[in-house]
Amino acid sequence: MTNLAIKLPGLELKNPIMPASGCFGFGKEYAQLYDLSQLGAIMIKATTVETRLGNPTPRVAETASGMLNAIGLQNPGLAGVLGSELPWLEQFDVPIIANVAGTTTEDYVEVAKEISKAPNVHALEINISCPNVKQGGITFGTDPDVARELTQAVKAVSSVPVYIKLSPNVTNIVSIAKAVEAGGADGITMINTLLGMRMDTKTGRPVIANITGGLSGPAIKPVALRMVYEVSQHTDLPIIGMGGITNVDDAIDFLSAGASAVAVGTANFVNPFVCTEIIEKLPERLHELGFDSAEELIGRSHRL
Amino acid sequence: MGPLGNGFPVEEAAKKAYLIGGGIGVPPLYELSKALNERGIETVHILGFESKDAVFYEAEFKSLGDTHIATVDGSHGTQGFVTHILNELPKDFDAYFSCGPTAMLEAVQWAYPEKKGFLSYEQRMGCGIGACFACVCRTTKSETDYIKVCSDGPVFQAGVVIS
Repeated sequence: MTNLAIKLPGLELKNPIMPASGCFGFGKEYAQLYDLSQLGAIMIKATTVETRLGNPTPRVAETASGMLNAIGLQNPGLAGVLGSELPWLEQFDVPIIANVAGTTTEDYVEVAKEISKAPNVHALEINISCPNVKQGGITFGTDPDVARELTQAVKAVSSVPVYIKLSPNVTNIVSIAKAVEAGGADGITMINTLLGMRMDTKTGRPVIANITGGLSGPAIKPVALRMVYEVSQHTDLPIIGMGGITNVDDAIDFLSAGASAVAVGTANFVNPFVCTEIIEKLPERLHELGFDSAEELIGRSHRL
Repeated sequence: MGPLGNGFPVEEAAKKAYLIGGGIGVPPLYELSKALNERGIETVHILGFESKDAVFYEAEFKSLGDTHIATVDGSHGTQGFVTHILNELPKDFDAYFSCGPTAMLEAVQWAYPEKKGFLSYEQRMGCGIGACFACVCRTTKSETDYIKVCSDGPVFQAGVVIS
């Protein structure tokens, strides 16, 4: 029998497939379609200290092989997530990775400290890469020193392992990865969206009200793979890889590049069953490729 | 999966309904009008288009009830918007239903505060099931209240959605 289980800091994954933060809300909508306990983990929508109402609309736009979004971290705030969203998710046998966002170091520290105490939160994903908020977010993820200091501050208060979500909107992603490793991160998740635009050809105006948005979907898979490949060679941290995964072969490619598990984002909007379909197909595909476990795939491109 | 979201509440009309549509928002009103007529509700159709070339289903709507057409360039029917026609018509209906561009819905939803009105909204959507927060609109209820057009709507009672 093919073994899909993967062990990562804080996470005993029954399989390496999970929905990516921001594409799955807090699970309620998808729970109407399938049993969330099938998932390896769930990366819940970013939580900030206070309730956030997000950006003006339009917030999304289709692009060639992908989409732009500028939601703006809309979420019910720390109290809402702790009081209602996380307790509701306790009915499922699935570890939660809580995505933490903020505009100041103090914000990140406060959310990390409190949300990491929730019984079903097994790890944090620190969002230092959101391109759609005016302050904070990506500014923490583009300067290695700032990224290291934030990692240290969050690590000091978190009750669970800390994964840092890296931005692709940098000249040298390895330097950021090394910085968060030096800051004591337990793992890396990558990549967040690529900053982009779409114009209304008729009017000449940007389609997204925020003007710019984050590009996701199959269009960014080659960029994400390259970055996972590079980072995995230069740090010892485990990587949860993401960026344009839509099928089982995409997931396998990320493991081959050096990821230990993968997250599926935008594809959930095209096919809400995509995560469970990849999980179902993974054993057969591994068998076809001559592997007995998902673990054997991790970083195989580096061993060839 | 689907159909997703809600529909027009035909049971809210008692005797006479105005159906107000603009451009691509006109087609859903045809099935709605049939459903209302089957329930014995008198329907009046007020439909707006860019120009004569864009007008469609005029005869089909006429077979279901009074039909008034407005075109922006005046090439067919009344020149201007549906609101120009509405200003001229009697307010002898008990409910209205509307689908069309946001600017039209915004004009319509405050025009008849004493009537029951139901508006079908449009927003760019990501997931279609309420998970991605792409299609949210604020509401008149409070500073922090919001709806998702995809899963809470797309049809909302007049006076609720700030678009």
